[in-house]
Amino acid sequence: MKAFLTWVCLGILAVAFAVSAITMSHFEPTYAGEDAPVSVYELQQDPASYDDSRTDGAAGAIVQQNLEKTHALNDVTSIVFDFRGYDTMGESFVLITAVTGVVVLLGGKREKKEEAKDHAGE
Amino acid sequence: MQENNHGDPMLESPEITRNGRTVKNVIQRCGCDKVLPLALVYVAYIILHGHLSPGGGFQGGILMVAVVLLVYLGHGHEESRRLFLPEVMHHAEGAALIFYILIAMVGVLGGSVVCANILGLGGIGALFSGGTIFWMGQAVAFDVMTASIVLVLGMLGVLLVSDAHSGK
Repeated sequence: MKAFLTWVCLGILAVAFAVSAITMSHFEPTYAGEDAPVSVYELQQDPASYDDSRTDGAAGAIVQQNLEKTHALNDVTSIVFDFRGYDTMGESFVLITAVTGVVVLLGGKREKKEEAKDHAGE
Repeated sequence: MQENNHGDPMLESPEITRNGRTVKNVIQRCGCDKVLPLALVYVAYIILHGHLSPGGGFQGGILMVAVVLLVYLGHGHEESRRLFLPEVMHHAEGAALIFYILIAMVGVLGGSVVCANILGLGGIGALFSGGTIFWMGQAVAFDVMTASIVLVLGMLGVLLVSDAHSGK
């Protein structure tokens, strides 16, 4: 029964993936990369003066609007600490959980040493 | 030579005691002392310029592992535990997380949403720019720094214990 349910769920997932893939293959591409290629070097040198009026993909618009909103040059940091700051707080909790696990697992070695010494003395 | 045939003779340098502490190989110790300030300055640069150049809190904080390993290589296990204080670091990590949450709550106190950037933005390209991004980066860097110090010192302690067991 359990294996049957597992296969039914996997089949539903496979059908959903196939349907969505076929549906998405008929969409128009969001950015063909032909009319105005984004020069990454110019963007890096002078991000504020980049022309984002043309529909050349998301890069120019992202850099321009990010500079207007946060005044931070590094887009990744501004996303991690500003627009997705709540997610970063969760990552910090993951770190503190890992450290707590390490302290719990490895912190009791002194007591074990003393116990071993006591047993050896006896 | 019969006592040393169970290990690499290069690793078993004679121990020198100075001021009651055992000192490791002099060349190893001097090399680590030369590289240590450079590593610390590099860590500070990566963390402080997180919003201007590639890098940031996570990347700069994890570089602190290199500093801990340099102290461990040059001065041994006792000295590294005496310098970095893993018990204090474990509590400091909680303090860093509280600091992060307080800075995230600045947006709520200012009448906006969590993590809203309402502090002074500063000029584009300046060191103290970006408002809350800079300070949240510092908080996360401190968090990752303390966490990595505790993790590495714990693993080095396991190494010491396993060495003591295999040696006997």
